[in-house]
Formats: sequence, structure tokens, C-alpha cells
Amino acid sequence: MKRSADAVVIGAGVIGAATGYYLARSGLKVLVLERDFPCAGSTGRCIGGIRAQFSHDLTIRVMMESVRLFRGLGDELGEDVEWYQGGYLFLAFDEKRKQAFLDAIAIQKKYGLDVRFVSPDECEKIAPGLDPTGLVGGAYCPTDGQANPFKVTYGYLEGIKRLGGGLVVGCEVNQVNRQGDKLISVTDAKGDEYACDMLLNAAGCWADEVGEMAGVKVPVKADRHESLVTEAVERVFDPMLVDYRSDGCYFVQHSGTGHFIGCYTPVPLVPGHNVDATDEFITEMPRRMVRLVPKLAGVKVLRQWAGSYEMSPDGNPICGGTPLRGFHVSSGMSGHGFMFAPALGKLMAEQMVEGRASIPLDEFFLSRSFGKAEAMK
Amino acid sequence: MKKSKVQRPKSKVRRPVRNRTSPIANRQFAVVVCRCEEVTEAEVRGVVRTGYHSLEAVKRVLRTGMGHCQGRGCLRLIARIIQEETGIPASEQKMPRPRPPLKPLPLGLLGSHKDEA
Repeated sequence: MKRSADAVVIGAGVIGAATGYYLARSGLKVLVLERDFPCAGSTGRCIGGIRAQFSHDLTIRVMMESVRLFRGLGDELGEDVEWYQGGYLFLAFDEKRKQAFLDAIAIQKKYGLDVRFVSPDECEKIAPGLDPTGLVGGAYCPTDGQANPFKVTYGYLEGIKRLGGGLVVGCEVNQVNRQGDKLISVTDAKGDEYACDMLLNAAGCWADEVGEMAGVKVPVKADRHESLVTEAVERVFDPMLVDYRSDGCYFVQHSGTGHFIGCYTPVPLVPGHNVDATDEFITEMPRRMVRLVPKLAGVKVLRQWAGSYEMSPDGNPICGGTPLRGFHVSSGMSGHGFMFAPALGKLMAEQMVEGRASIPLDEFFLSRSFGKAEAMK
Repeated sequence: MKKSKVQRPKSKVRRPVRNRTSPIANRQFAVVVCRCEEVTEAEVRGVVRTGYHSLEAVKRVLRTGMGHCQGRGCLRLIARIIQEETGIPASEQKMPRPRPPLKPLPLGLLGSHKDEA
């Protein structure tokens, strides 16, 4: 079977869905090809936080745009995406971390972000129940927030369908076809061919494999991160708590459902496409959560799971064109794909259609040198 | 039977009344297939008819199997609905992966291993 579209997107995670939506909104016929089911990769395993507190200038600008878009996303998609502006509170337990936060705040302030360093007392007020032992203070941004990754992704996909595009599930692309230096189509494992003018590689931590099909090297590597979710309880506090200590963790209570959901970054990192759950996590994560907020001790854990961060060499996204004309990439989100998605989807659609995004993405281009690492990973 | 020595931490956090905003009472004659998340047969059929033909996809749209019982009660029923709607035999549908702790356990209990050492 042969089908055609103006733009084909590989991967129905949030990046593929969002970029596909904004491409469709600019008048293109879009087909999203998904090997498994929407949200089967990193999107469906993420904890749904959204923040603009970063240290990289372009990331801060794009995230601020994302927060703006998330605010109106429910109306745009006609679907309650459970956006809730509960803020993010980054906790500092030593002077070095405090200084790192102050440095980042100075950069964030340049762009007008509502962010400040708060005292341990204020931290307790922002997150009632937080044990302030050892706390030096926190970086707090009240405009950061959370949303439901499933609702956002499926909302964008339904939007694509409304705009005349489509989603094909069970479609594993294994060949990118070219004529000279120009892309012409892709072929899937069943032999179906999809002709297109533009192709977006939004394959998440498999973006390297899709890149290879076109002879383009996309330097992303999967890294395992584990998460857990508790039963729903009445509202305890609003912000996402981030504890960057080597035995720290991040967790948030979801406004839509009342569940606490959280994860931590393992030391050392666990590379590879491995989504097995471990005994270490299901005992360590609760210890770390209860240490920070003792009154959560009686809240029950429902499930633990694992997912991959698609890490780029510097922790920043890899976006834009490639040496193969018509072939674009948006991957390497390094754990921030969900929060990046609305703005980066919109900007990448502009990049693909007009050749230039309204916030220039040059520092995320595949052709950049991967030097300066993100300090607020 | 010997009494368990493990002290179950008491919750200082109250359980919520309801997860869902639309009370079942207002959905006349609704057949509930997922009790934990209060999802009805009609809602499941609706999602399958929009083109989501797998337990995993239905789960992500409606939260079926994400509640307290983790799908013990609903997944087989939903597999049958998918079979009726699409012809894909229930036995050939991929079940979401079971994950620990299987039965809900308190954070304080799970995290107490270091205190005992």
C-alpha cells in the first residue's frame, strides 16, 4: 500500500504529536507513524512536570513559551489537559547548590521569569509538611506547573485528525528512501510506503536508529530512570519538589487525580533501553520522599515503573534540519520532552515550513558542537 | 496466627472522596467496568471506536488499570470489549505489564529498610 502526506512524523510521543499538530495547523497534511501505541516510549513514563527554571538561555526562553502554550492548551485542543500552575521548588542543602541556583536565577531573570531564592521558612510555607532539616533555602518559580502527559499527547493527536491528518499505529518504519540528496518516502516493516516532502524523526531514544536509516548520525543515548505513583490523597501541597542531593528525588502531587508521582536520577546512571523495575528503587524512593515530607509515610504506593531519558551529549535537545534535504530531527530531550513539547513543537513546525523559527533554534541544531552542559538537569 | 511485628505507619494525610468529577449517579444505567477509576463500558467503547485498539492505549486515555487494583478487575472486561469492537481476540491482546508492589503499600513501610539496619 502507498500513502502520501506533506509531512510524515515518526513517533507518537508528545514531541511527534505536538510538532505534527502545529504542522497540520499550518495547513499541511500530516501522518504520524507509531510502531507501538501513542505514549509507548518516554512520554508515557514521565512524571508530567513543566518548568522554565533552567540554566541555558535558549532552554529558558523555549520553556517560558511552553508554559504560555500549556496555559491555553485546554482551549486549543478542546480537552482538559490537567494543566496546573503549582510551581517548582528546588531545594538547596548546601552553599554550593545555593550558589548554583542563584547563578541560574540571574540568567532566568534576564528573560523576565518570576523566580526567586526563598528561605527555609518560606519553603515550608510553599510546601506545608516539608521537613526543613539541613535546608539552606530553595529556588522557587510559581509559574512552573504540571499537566497530564497522556491527555496532552492524545489531545494533540486528535487535533491532527481534526485537521485532516492521521495516526497510523503498528507502523514500524525501517527504511528512509531518497533520490539524490532529497528525501522522498519511508517504508515500514509491512512494506507500506509513505511518500512525503518532509519527514520528522521524533523517535525519542530510538532517534539514533531512525537517523541511521537516512545516514544521519543523531547522538542520543537511552538512560534508565525509575518512577513510582501513590494512591490519590487530598491536596497536600502544590509545587514539584526537587532535591538534587546524590540521594535526592523529585516528586509532585498531580492536581487532576491527587496522586503523588516521583522519580530520581540514579548514581551511577544506568545506560540502555532497559525499563525493568528494581527493588532498590521501590525502597529508596519512599525513604527519600518520607525524609523530605514525613507526613506522607502512610500514603500507599500503587505502582513503580521505569522509562528512558533520551540523553544528548550536552543535555539539550537536538532539533532542526539534517544533511538529507527534507529530513528533520527533534529528539535528545534529555528528560524534558514533555515540558518542551508545545513550544518546541510549534517552533520546529515553523523551522520546517518557513526555514526559521520565531525563537531561533540554532543552539539546538544537530550541527552544533556539543559543549556546555545544562546545570539544572 | 502470629501477629505481624511491622508497625504500619499511620497516615496523616486523608484520602480523597472521589477521583472523578462526574458522579456515576448522573450516568443512568451506566455499566462500570473499572471501579477504581469509575470508567463505564460506554466510555471504553467510545475510545476504542476513535481508533485506539489496545489495552495500553485505552489505559492511557481513560486511566483503566491505573487505580488501586492495577487492572485486576477491568483489563479482561476491556479486552472483551476491544474484541467485540474490533475482532482482535482478547487472548491475542497485550496485557499491560504487572509492576510492584502489586498490592498498595505505604511509603513509610517501603522506605523503612535503612532505619532497621
